[in-house]
Amino acid sequence: MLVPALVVTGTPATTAAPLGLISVVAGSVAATPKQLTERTVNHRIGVLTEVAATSGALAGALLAGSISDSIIARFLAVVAFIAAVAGGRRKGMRNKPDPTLDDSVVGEWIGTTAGAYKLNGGIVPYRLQRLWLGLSAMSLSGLIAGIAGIGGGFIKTPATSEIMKVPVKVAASTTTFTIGITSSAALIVMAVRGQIEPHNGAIVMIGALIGGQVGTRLQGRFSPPVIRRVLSVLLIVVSIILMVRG
Amino acid sequence: MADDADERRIDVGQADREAVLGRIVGKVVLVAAVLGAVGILLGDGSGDAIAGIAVGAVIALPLLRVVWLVATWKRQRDGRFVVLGVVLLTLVVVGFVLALLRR
Repeated sequence: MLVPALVVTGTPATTAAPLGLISVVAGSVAATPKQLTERTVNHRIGVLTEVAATSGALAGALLAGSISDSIIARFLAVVAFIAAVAGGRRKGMRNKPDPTLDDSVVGEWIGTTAGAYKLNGGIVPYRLQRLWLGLSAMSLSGLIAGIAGIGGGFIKTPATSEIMKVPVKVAASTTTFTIGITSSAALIVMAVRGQIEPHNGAIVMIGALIGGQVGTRLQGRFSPPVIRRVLSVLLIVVSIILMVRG
Repeated sequence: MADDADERRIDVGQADREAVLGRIVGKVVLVAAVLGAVGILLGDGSGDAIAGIAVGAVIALPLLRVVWLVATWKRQRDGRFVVLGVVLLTLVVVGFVLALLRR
């Protein structure tokens, strides 16, 4: 949301894009200590899905310029709206605590895309499902990110949660990790091109570091259904912004 | 779901290693934030250089984390995910090279 806000207030898009990506990386990095302590990031799922997303992003970067901004913005608006409805409609929790499990199984399970995390004193097991459909969605999110120059997190979290049936807390933490990788790779290229302005970059970085810490602490206080509803509202806001921009 | 006990193979030391990584990242973030603030306050050429180092440190962290993961999975003999991690890092390098060539 930072990039549209900057562009609307008169910042050139070429300056706003790296600042937006710095905010994404800083937010991702700020959330890391807390998420590693809580063990809600599934790195194996993250790397697996990121391979698909990065492949899509490379293809998207090569296609960039051949599709109009207006079409991309409207397409993104529809995707965000569908993701909002899918997450908002679902009631209760899909993955329930298993009373037979103890702390020894918390974390990601070696050699698999399964794991368990702690929730309200219980242990919730999960396993990634519908792998190929999920990877297709990740490739599409990467393709769109590559074409439009955005992070794509608003597609990745719902795709991980609603298509691959990963609990929303694990999906959100894992997406926070993966969008950091995507944005970091893009920023290295921008740095080589001299597109990063250190002074403004540092201001955005400090703001995002603080915001990332606060967001991660708030996430720990709310139940998955509340997080899902907040995410749905944010997606509808994103959808409206994209439709207006388109 | 997840009813196969054999599947629940956990590296017992991994939680501690992730906690250490988390603390290191937290310290780097703190140092980067302080350096960034100093760079902003100085505001001149040296300020920009300091701010650039701070931003660069934060940008490098996610990719260094993937390198750390590949080393961790190699130690756990989780070959499939080692390959995936290497493929991901290779894709990042390919993207970087493609961008340089198209500059």
